[in-house]
Amino acid sequence: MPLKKVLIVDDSTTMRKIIARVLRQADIAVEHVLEASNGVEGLERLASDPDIQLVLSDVNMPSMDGLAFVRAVREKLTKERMPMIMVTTEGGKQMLQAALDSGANGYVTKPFNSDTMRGALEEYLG
Amino acid sequence: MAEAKSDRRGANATLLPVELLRGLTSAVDEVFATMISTLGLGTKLGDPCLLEPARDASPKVAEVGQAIHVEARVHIEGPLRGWISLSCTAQAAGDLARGLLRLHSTEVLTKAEVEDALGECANMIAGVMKTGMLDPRGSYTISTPRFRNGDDQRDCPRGTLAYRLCAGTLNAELWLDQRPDGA
Repeated sequence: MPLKKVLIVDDSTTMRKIIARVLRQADIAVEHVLEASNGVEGLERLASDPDIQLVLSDVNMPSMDGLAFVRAVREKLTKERMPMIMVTTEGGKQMLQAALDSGANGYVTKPFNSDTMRGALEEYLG
Repeated sequence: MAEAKSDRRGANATLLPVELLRGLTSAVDEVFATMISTLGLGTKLGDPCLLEPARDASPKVAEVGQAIHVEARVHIEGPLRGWISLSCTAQAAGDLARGLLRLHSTEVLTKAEVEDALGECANMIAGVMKTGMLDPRGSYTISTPRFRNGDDQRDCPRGTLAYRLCAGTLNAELWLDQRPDGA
């Protein structure tokens, strides 16, 4: 059962394309991949599209960083059950704990490969 | 002009401690080996025409630096302050971006796309260094990638790694800023 829509939030267009490609390489079926370049855009996307089933978000972004974005999704959009995975360059315990504390369900540290991505998303796939 | 700048860097800048340079080497290796493997190019670090560490461990800075056109920097703030820089010719940066995006060598990319790819590589390298080497020694933050605009090289301690690509050399550098205000 493919995921209907996945939202990738990252200020790097390169990384958004890489994540979309890695999803395909990991055999994660997605009907539509949507993109946003920061947390503010991500919130707008999520508020206007109820079909988004999974969010992959960078942490270090301008305008609204990934941690603030996840908190806002949980609090303002009241999407408590939306699976949100942080994709971060910072793999230290403190950052990963901060991601979980903000409301993220898990994380993938960059650089990553398709196995890493699949492992992080396994429980959210149909 | 570029040669003069490079000469100044080579003449005055002191070198980084070996441990930091090893950390930079390891971070560059991890980022490119993983992302290249991820992208299924079937190539690994050291293969010809990709990211072959330059044979000369101490590249002639004037030679390496004279054709630099694109540079992405990620600033580091903490007990140590400075920046990680990736720089290369526009052509080499284009090759690197096409490699990351798995595009054919004839695909044309915009300057923004090329800079973004180089910036993301710098960002990942900085993240790996922060996690593996800096965080255990203090509280650090890293910036989003920035792109150099003009000559603002300083006489700071720095370490340079040079990698050969198909179309030139990629420099990965770590600079330490010792000014109190970091400005």
